[in-house]
Amino acid sequence: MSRVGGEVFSLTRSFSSRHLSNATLPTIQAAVGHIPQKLKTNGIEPNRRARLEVLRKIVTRLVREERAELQWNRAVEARPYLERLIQLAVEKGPSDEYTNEMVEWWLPEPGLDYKLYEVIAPRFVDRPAPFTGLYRLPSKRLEQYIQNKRIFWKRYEIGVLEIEGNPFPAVVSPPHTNNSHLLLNQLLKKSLQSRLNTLEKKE
Amino acid sequence: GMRSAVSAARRAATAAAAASTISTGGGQAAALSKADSTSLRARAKALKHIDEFPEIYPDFVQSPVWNRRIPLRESLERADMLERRMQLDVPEFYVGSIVAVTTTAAYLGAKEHRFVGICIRREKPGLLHQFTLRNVIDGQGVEVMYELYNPTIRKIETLKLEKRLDSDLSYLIDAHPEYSTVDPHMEPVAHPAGTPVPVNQMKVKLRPPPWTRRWEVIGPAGVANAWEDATPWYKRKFHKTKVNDYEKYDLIAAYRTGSTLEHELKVEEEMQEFERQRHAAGLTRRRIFRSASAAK
Repeated sequence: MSRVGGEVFSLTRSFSSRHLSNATLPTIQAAVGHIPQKLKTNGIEPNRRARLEVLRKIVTRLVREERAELQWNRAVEARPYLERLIQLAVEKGPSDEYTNEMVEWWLPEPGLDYKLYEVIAPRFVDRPAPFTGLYRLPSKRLEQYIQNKRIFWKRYEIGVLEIEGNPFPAVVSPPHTNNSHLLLNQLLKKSLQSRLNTLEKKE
Repeated sequence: GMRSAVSAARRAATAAAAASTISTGGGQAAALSKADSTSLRARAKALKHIDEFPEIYPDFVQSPVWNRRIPLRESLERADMLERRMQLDVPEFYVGSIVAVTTTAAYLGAKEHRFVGICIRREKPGLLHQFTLRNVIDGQGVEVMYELYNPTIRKIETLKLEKRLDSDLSYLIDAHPEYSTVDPHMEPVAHPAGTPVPVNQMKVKLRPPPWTRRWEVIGPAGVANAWEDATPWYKRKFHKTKVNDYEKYDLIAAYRTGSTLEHELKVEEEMQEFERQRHAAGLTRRRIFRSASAAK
């Protein structure tokens, strides 16, 4: 029966997609794979609905908090969704029917749609994409359970996903403009200078 | 030899003093190219970008399957398509428009054959693009699939330019015949230039099931109460189907199969450049890049 459901899904999309919104949008500035990745869904039967629910939870949390530590694979998978949602809000705005439908589903908490349109979207009117940032943190080892007085650990890959222009301090401090004091640069400079001197002496 | 070595060393020394050779690593966001949406918008304005590009030129849109998007193949196909469009006038038409196609038929007395019908489907990208016309002739439903770039096509005319509520009218095969009957000798209806293409709000009444597809589940906008007319026997048979209408909220699934502004602008630029070259050569006055709603 699920196979039948799949067929129906593909038909539905080809029937409805073209009239949803008129003008085509630019590409989103986040890595998008050509296959949707499977996500673990903590006890819920893992299907496409559960995957969307996991992503919706992450997107809602990010619009609310603007920065979140997540498992790396979830952050990678959620980033394009957040990017596209912000792009819709910036380019189309609340007057567009399709955008409104998407925002209503992706941000079920009251007040978050207002925040997206009135706080986050105006930030990016003059600022180029990407609207989100993704950084890798060192992996974390977390306690899972204890069996026969033995502790079982699991290592998690962690990523930080954030909306650009948030009020928090930067994840990565801005690079030094002047690196000439670094040891390698000093050594290079000295060696080149001495080479120049010897060459000029030979002349 | 010595002189050049000295000058090279001097250049290297000044470069090392001026710039920082080792930079600290940035975040992943910095590695991605920054798309300047304002410059894209300016380019779209300069090219007189058509918002309905994917609907008017479905053959110039990239394949919805990503691993079939091969830039070299696409550019070669586009070159052939533009060349063909200079030979054959391909008018603007949509799914729902009434179209007449004249083809060469070697074994007919007239040596050509004309078919008039409603366009019910436009499928496949590139040179493989197909469209299907449907009409009812002597009480018999007829659907003819034409390949747009088939060289036996002599003439394509849009007799009535309009859209319908859906981008696929395959359900007309399960509807009463009056919904797909068109007069084969109908006169073309002129579309006033510069006005938007009208959307026909017609709701089609289906025959009772069996149907070719599950229209009550798919739910096209242009079908009136498909489920109400079904007999209890079909309702009992089908009521257990899993409906997954949440799939439409998968933003990235829609993004993957859709078109992008960058690609459309690239194609529009190519079209306009091609036209300019041909017009400058004085061979033709035909225009490929045009839209009825944007015309002066």
